[in-house]
Amino acid sequence: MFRVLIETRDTEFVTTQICAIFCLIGIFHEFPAHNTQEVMRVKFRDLFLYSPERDEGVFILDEPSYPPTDYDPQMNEGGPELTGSYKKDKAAFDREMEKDLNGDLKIREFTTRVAGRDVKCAAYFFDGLVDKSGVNDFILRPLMLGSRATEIRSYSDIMNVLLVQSEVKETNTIGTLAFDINFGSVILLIEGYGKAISVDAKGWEHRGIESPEVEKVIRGPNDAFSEQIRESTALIRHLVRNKSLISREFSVGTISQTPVSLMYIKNVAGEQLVREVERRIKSIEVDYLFSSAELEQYLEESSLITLPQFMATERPDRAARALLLGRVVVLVDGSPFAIVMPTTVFELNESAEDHYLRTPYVNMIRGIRFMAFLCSLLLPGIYVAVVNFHGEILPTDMLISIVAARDKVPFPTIVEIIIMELSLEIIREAGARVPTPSGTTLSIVGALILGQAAVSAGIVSPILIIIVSIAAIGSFATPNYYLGISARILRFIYIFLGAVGGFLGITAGAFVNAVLWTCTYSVGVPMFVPVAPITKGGVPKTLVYPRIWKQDYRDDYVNPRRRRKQQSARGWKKDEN
Amino acid sequence: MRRKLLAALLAASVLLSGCNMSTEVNDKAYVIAVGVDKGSNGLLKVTFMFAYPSGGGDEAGGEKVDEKDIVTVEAPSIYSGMRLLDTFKSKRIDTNHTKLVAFSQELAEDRGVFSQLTDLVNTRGFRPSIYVCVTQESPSKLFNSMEPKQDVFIEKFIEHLFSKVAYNATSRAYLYNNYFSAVVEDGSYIMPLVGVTDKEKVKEAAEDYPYKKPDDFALNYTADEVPLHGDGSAALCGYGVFVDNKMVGTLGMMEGTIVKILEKNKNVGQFCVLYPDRDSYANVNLQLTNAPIVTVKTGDAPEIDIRIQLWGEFTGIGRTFRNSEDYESFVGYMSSAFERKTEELLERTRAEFGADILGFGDKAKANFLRYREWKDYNWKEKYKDARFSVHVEIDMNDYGELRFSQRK
Amino acid sequence: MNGGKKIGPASTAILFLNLAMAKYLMVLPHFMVSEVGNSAWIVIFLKGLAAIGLFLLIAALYKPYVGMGLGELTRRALTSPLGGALNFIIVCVMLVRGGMLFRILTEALQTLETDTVTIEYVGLFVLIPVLICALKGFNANVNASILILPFTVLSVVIISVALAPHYEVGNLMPIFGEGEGKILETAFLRFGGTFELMYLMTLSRSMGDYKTFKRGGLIGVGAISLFSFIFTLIYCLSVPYPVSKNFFFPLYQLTRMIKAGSFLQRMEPTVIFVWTGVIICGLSTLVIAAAELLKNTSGTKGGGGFVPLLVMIIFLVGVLPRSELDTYGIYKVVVNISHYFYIGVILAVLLTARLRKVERGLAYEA
Repeated sequence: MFRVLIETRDTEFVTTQICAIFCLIGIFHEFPAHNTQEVMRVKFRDLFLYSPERDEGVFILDEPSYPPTDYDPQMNEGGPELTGSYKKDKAAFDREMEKDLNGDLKIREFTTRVAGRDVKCAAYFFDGLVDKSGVNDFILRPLMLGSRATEIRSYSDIMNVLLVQSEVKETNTIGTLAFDINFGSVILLIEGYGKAISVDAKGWEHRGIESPEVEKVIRGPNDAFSEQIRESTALIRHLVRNKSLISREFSVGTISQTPVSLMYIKNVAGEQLVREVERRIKSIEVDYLFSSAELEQYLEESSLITLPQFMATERPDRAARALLLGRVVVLVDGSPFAIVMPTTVFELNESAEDHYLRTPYVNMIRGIRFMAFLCSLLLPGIYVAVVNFHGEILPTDMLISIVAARDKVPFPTIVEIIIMELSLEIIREAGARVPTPSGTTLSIVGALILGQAAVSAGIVSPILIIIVSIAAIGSFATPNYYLGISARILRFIYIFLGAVGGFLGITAGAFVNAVLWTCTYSVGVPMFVPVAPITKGGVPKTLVYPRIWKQDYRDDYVNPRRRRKQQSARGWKKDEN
Repeated sequence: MRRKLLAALLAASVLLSGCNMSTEVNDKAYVIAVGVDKGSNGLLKVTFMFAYPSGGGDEAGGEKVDEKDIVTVEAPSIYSGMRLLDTFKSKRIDTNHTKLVAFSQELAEDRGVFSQLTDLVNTRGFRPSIYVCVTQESPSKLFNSMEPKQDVFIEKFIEHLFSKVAYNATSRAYLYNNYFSAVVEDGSYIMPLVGVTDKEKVKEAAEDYPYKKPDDFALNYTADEVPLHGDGSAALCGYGVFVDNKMVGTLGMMEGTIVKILEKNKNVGQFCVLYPDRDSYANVNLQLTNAPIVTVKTGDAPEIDIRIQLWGEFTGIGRTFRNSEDYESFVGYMSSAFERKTEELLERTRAEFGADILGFGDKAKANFLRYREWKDYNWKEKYKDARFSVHVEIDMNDYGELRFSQRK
Repeated sequence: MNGGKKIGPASTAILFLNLAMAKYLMVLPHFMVSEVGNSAWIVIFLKGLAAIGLFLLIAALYKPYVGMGLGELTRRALTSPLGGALNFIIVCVMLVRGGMLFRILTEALQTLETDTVTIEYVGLFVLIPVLICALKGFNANVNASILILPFTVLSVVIISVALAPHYEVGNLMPIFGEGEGKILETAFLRFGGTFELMYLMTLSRSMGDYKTFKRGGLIGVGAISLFSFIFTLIYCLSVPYPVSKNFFFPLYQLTRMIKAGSFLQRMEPTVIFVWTGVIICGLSTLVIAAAELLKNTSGTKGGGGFVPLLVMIIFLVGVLPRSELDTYGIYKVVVNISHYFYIGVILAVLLTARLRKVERGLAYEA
């Protein structure tokens, strides 16, 4: 049928080709969300037969389902139980901990005195993970000397009288012992006791609380999360100071057992949100997890979209604010960045300082930032489109100077701009790797290549350097690092589209981009939420940052339990009158 | 997956063919102005003025390159002229940056320019907001005489010559205005007239200056005798009058000023007012206070009533009104002169040209409810019996006096 | 939280605008001017009022069935084979109209782009986004058009402000143009907005309830009436009558008249952004609605599978006419006939459903 249709018009090559594309995409392409196969199986008579059972609502993308795995998570849990015999248990535990292979495993054997007789003891710990003086003073000294000075009547007195640590517990499975010892506990095996005692003595060397590296502010607190999950949670708790702040603990990674903390405020965060995040964290089945950046990728919905779907912050105040606004914060041990979820594009475009600035300043800065992002995304593409297709848009004087500058350049604009963009990316990448002493050399060389030399060699035209630099600077002005990278990637696509289709191509690309981005969800919340889809009163709030005493409500798209944030925040104004 | 890849490849190959369709900016030659003249054997002599890319990106600067490149070809139309030009211009001809289309007076008088106007409006290359004009000389001479002294680029010169920057700005210079009038008013319209100044002509005119024509604010020059002391430079010197799409006459400087007032241009400009006794003069800056009120009564003979309100002040200290009599006589003198000049112009359009070139038809239409009735009325014929009444009110102030502090 | 299956009144209005914008902004002013002369703006105004009245009437009839979708309702009201056949015919009319619209708008885009680009090539840039958008589904389409709408509004505002020096009240005279009889006939005997209304009803299962449907529809009808009224008024004010009949793309001609000073030498290319966006939005809504109807008709699980097929058919229908003028002719005929068809179908289905007391299925409660 289509063949006939085509031939009625003077068949052109392009027409046939385009038809072929649609045919290929349409008929053979299997979209996961839509059952193409099923549609193809519809027979003509089916069109006239109705069966409501087969009808399942408006088509919306289904959640992708993953195939079941044959993964064995039982790697650290449980294990054999202690037998009660000191010798056997010690041998078993030695074997479990690979005593001969692990150099940093320390075993101190001694005797203590229980109920008037000496019993054998062994203390296991990893050198470096424990606080040595603490072990000496508060574990070994009481057991060896204290037991002889005080009368220890029974084994339970060891825990009740001798060990003065805050965290002491009895265990009788070897697996749990192994887990504890890896977290900086000292394991005590005592002859005749039957169980082992695990005493918390964490004390490894780590970085202290320092000022933030990425999110620097001028007005505002200057402390940042550290790699210690406990310190990080403490920093947040210190800011929130409320009993309803919940910090749920999970360990992710079958081998690494990385502690992950899910924080939310019980009376503020939406129940559904917390449950969803919890579900996602719990269902991660991996061997190891080191940082929140990895966790982010396990939690996000669309991994191929360039848009980042969570916000990472290294500032406790920002995390605390997010919590109080009904978000959920996830911390990972070993990573100084907290993940805030859900987030929106407009929040990604906020900097840490926005809340500390007065309203007029914020609005101006946000406008600039938005412009910078658009420049970094579209400017090179638009330049290519203008130069290749829409020369008439430029003022004649400017056009003539562009022509004069370009006349000496042998390449077409697209090649020219790709050369420049690529060399810029290379320099940027090198700049991230280069050791500090060589940094100056790099910047000199880069400036020379990108600036003077390329122009005088006649490879690029000067106006192009302006365009490329504005775009590059624009991506630095974007507060979110991932969003900046996203703009860098998409820029190349827009350059290509501008070269093949002018403004038409750019618009088509922008439309597809808009479709894909608005279809991206952050834990179920659309990324463009107050605007697309529209929520009540969301648009003006997004366009213009309201005065702080007018921000009475939390965003409704996170479904907070407590909608109102403040009430008559400026009561003094009323009193005056 | 393989099919996905195939579709993507095919799409990319089609898309890449788009690169073929684009043209780099520096592969085009930009036409700044087009001139159309009468050629031999019924052809047109089409003149193109190109912009040279120079100076722009050059750091060295150096000597000034001639920025113009003027080529003339004979062809049946502007477009075929461009096609011909393509054979010996190395770059593709681009008319998107055209600023001016100039028709020679000879062509306008002989064949008219309507078909060219239609061509220009309906094609992509030219746009309706370019300027059009009639030249007294041949277009190539006009283009050669365009010597930008105040402007760096030639296109800025053209822009400024017609645009609002200058006092003689007029919407009649736009292509679409002329085209609209040509269609709507049955081919009666006026188009700016551009000439090239000439030393000889200046000499002749200067012999009579300024006492030849009293009471006319020293502006009463017909289009071909503007006394400019230039040596061959392009100058705006009035309007060409088109009736039935053919040029039949010209309007001079004073008439042009009245056209401007009727067009609601606020700044009327500087006037040198010669006194009746002819031994002294005063400089007056005139402005429109309100838009002129034009009422048209459509009867058997249309009655056109025009009320113009002007406000003026002396341009410098030194001339003041001694008393109210002085004021009355001065103002009365000026307004009567304006009234007379306006009436003369209107009478001329009726009697000499016999066409509504100033577009009173727009006002007359409002008296009708349906388009058909308006067509049946036959404004074009009726205009030949039109009666005019003109009232000009002028308020004068001393230099520096507030506008509303009326003396009385 | 859950991806927002239902949309609110604002989004419903935008969906309506989405469909209407492409047609009303690009094609309608010229159509109206060629029918009734320089009084097109009066016609559009009256048409707007008539459309609001019509909408209220149909909304009242449709009240019990909001959330059911037209395709579904047709089947229930007119029994399966008949309703199915009707749905099939509706889809065919939609596709023909969509194809013609596609051709006309693409032709306009090509005029804006460059002389050298072929129509098929331009079509590719329109249809591939349409394909992706329609496959991504209903919400994606609404969201994308929300992002585009401000730019459309902005462009109309900019054009109307920039054209202010060209406004000439004389161009509106004589006030009744080709006669008041013709004005009334065009305004009230041709049912404007039925095409869009039909889509709205087709997609109504994505809207919350009757209140959403009614409020959104009213805002949509009102906004598009206002828009096209303003735009047609601008067109009539700045271009005198016999000339305005000759201009095919009002938006294009109007932007050509703008003189932006020395900032932009020409304004036309900037219109491409808005124009393309509006066209893509409109066409993808059309495709989604057609797929939804087909889905209702065939009872398949998702309508997405139909999308590529529909897009291809639109393309093929679009390239069928030999020239742009042919397309205009066909489109004019289709438009002049199809609105009777639409209003007939809508009223027939609703009235039958009411008479037969068709009830909403359990699946659509709440």
